[in-house]
Amino acid sequence: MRDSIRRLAAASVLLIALPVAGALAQDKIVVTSSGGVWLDSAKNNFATCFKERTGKDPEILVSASNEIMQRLRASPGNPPIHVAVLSEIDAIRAGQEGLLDKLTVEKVPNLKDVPEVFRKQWNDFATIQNFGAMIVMVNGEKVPNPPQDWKTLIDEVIAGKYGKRVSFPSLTMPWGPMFTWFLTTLYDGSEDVVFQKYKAMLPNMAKYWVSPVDALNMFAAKEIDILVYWDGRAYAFAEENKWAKAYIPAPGAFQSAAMLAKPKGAPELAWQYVDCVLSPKAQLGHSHTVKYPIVNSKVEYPADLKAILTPLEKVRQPDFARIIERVPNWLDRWNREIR
Amino acid sequence: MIRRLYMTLAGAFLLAPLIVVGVVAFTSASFVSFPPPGYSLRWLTRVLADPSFMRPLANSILLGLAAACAAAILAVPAALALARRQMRHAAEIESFLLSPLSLPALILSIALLFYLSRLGLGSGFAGLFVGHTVVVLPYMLRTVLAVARGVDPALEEAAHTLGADPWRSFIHVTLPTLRPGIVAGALFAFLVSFDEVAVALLMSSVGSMTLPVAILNHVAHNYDPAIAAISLIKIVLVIAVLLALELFFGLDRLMLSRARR
Repeated sequence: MRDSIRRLAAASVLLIALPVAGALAQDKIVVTSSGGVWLDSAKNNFATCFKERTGKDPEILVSASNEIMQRLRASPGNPPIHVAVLSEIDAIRAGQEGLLDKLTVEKVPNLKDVPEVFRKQWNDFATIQNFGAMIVMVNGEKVPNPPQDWKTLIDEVIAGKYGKRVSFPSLTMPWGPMFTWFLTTLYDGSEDVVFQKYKAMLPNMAKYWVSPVDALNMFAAKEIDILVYWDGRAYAFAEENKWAKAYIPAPGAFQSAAMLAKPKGAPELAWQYVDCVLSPKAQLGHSHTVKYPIVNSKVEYPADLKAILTPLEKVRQPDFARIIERVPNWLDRWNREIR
Repeated sequence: MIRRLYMTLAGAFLLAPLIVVGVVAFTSASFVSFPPPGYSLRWLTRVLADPSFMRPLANSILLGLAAACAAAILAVPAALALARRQMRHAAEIESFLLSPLSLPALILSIALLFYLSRLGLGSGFAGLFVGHTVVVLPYMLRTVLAVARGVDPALEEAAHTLGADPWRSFIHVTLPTLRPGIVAGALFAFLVSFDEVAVALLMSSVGSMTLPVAILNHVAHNYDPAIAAISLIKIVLVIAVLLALELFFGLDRLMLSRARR
């Protein structure tokens, strides 16, 4: 009897101890990525470069920016993530909170080919690894001649020209504040006008979308004819579906970016991965995979790729300091007036 | 008549989402749509061959079993003490043990992340295991406690009178009487762990990612019907476990006390 009790106790201890031991044995560089084609690109371009240089495979964790922030805040100085891909606002906050190491050319030689505009607002605590823009997707069969500028598009939606078959991003999705900031630049900086337009479009809006996947599903299922969406995914979709078109209305779009950063306390080896991400070969491969422009100025795009990438001169980089300051007020207005 | 209609409507309401998932899993289209334009096994085949789904599935099963076992090891002595001892503050202790139920899952997960990170267990299977044990413990405790309160203490006294030492009477008398609560609690605990996303989202690592997190990550960046295929596999798996338990042990037998059979 005592033996069976001992066995039971030993099995219980093992059951608890094995996973603990397994976790403590982890000793690898952990990098983050978004899922889907982003993960494919991280494996095929960045991890391949890292392995060529160091002989090691990085562990690629699919994780969203806000989750990464919680993990970094929970372990300051001893981060479970060694290279992080963050949203623009989270990267600014992480830098301000002392969670990131500064990027320098000594640590990241390829940084010398990344123009300052891609790092300045982040005080070198992070750099843009690729950027994109929110543009317009249309069903070419239903809307053969879409409006060529944002203000006309918005006015025609308000007038009901496209019925209730239009979807714009919600302010509450992660890049919603940046889109709202961009709209204010179209209306002389007036937040009031932008919120009036949001409200006036509401009766003809199928949905102010929050989930990018839901939005693209609506468009793919032809439930809507006009969708404001990211350029890379829009062009990739249009390439596979000839009825779909994607274009940039005048006067352009706002810059939406993925920020690359090394958390404070991450091993020195992490710099090698950061440098790989910014290397010309990996950057071009990444751009091919995700269909977004990259930041290394030495990269020359082939003609077919260049044709579908939003050029830098057509995007406006948001003023993040202003956005961070205004977001609480905008969210309050959105919840009261639009939702 | 009205009762039958009500039951039919309620059944249809509950089953409709599952039917949609089941049908979409067999779509031939590249995106989620209902009804599907055609039927194919392409998404099921793809998911079954995709380690980014199969490894999390295995992790979820292992984690669910480990958390359910750990919860049982913790909950049984606690339930016996609460049910039998005349303790001061017993009600407060019971409330404390059940408190994970009253916290929003996200708050609990952030608290666990910050606490376990200080212990070096913030990211990985060990942290997930501790976190899920905390999450599922109340389910186990509630069911075991309910059974323990209904067990006649005279049974153990009789065993002692007949010469059994405390361990022998625990193994041969106490545990069998608690079995319905332990089995029901373990089922709940496993299913809660298998579906849990908030703790897993913040605490899983590359090697310990669970199925709900893998599904969430996939949904965030893909619009293909693979998600319906993996959901169907998950549903079938849960039904298969319940059917196996019914076939080999009988759910009634496992979950009803001896006295009620």
